Amino acid sequence: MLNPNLSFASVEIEKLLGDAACAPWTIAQDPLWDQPIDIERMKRGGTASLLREIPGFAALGVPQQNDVIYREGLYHLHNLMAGEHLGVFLAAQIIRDCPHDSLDCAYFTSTVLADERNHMLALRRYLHEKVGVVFSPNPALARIFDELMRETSYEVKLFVAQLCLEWTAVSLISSIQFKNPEPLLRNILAAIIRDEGRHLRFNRWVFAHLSNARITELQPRMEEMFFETTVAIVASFLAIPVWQEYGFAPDACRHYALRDLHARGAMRYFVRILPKQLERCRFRSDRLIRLLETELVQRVIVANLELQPPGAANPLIASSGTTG
Amino acid sequence: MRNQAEILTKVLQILDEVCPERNPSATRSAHASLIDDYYIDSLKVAELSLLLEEAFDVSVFLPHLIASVRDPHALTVGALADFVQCNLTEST
Repeated sequence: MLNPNLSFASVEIEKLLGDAACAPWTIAQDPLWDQPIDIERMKRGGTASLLREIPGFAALGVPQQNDVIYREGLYHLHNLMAGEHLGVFLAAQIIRDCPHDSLDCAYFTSTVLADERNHMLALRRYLHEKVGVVFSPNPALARIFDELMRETSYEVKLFVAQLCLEWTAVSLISSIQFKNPEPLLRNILAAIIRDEGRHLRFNRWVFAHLSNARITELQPRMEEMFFETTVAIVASFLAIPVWQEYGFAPDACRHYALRDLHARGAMRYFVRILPKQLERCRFRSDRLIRLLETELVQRVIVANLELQPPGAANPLIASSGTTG
Repeated sequence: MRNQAEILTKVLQILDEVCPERNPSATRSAHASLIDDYYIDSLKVAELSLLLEEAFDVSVFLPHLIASVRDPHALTVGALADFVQCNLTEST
């Protein structure tokens, strides 16, 4: 049903929409596209690998270790790109399914759609044209997006795509900016982050205005999708396609990577902190936290085993990876 | 509306919670560096964003602050408190 009054319910959203319309997307014209990128600089600026404790990794020289870390970073950027791509289609569904009694939700989501498209095209150009490396997205992430495309509630789509997946990905990736990254990548990520800040404010507005009855109605599905999404996010940290390139055995990688995620506090974050996103949107999270505490690790392992395409590991390095 | 001193006090309190280990030579003040003194990393960026949002009941997307500066190492606790205050002002 078209809104005959063409009115906004919220002055804040109308202003945010104006900001989005005026925000220049200048990355496509960045002169750095015409410069060669410094791959060696990217290799020196990576974070520690989740495999840092695995014997086969420790046995590699520093240049090879940096190479693994560099490719892990590219794998995660491919996952971000896939999320942006699928976000375009989800945004289209949200525009179709959200309330049309005012312009707020549909019109702001149209800017989300355009933003996701811009992000995807910039990342795609960077990864394909400048870096020249292509990875398939993590299958667990692809599966959660499939599930979202079948979801009937636009609120669940919005919450999971924007506040679980993108918010987490962009928050984690923002720390790349700490390490004096390759300049074109820094500019692309800064532009993406700027847009995501607007999306966050929109999402907070949507959930602040849901009725209590609707919150109660959505509670079980929200918890279920939040849990499955958290499994997919943690599973996507395991850059097994990269590790297989270097011959590390997937079983050993899973073991060491999950141990490292615990040691870094990541599992505490996903079990205790990320569920606060639900609370911020007025959903309960106590049952979900209990589920995450008891089942997250096992479900990540299962997700990885179910979805991992069979790969031939180099038996020499694989055997060193499985010891210890 | 909270004043700047109240916001800074609360931000320091949340930083103590999120970053229990900090540079021993750093003072607990607005001048402390988020990266070099509080050792902020990717997980802490995400955790701080959520805890600040909860405490101030306003959108606080810390990556936005990080991406807005040329040198993130120059980001201080005071800059974070200013960012929160700016978001609070915009939301009213």
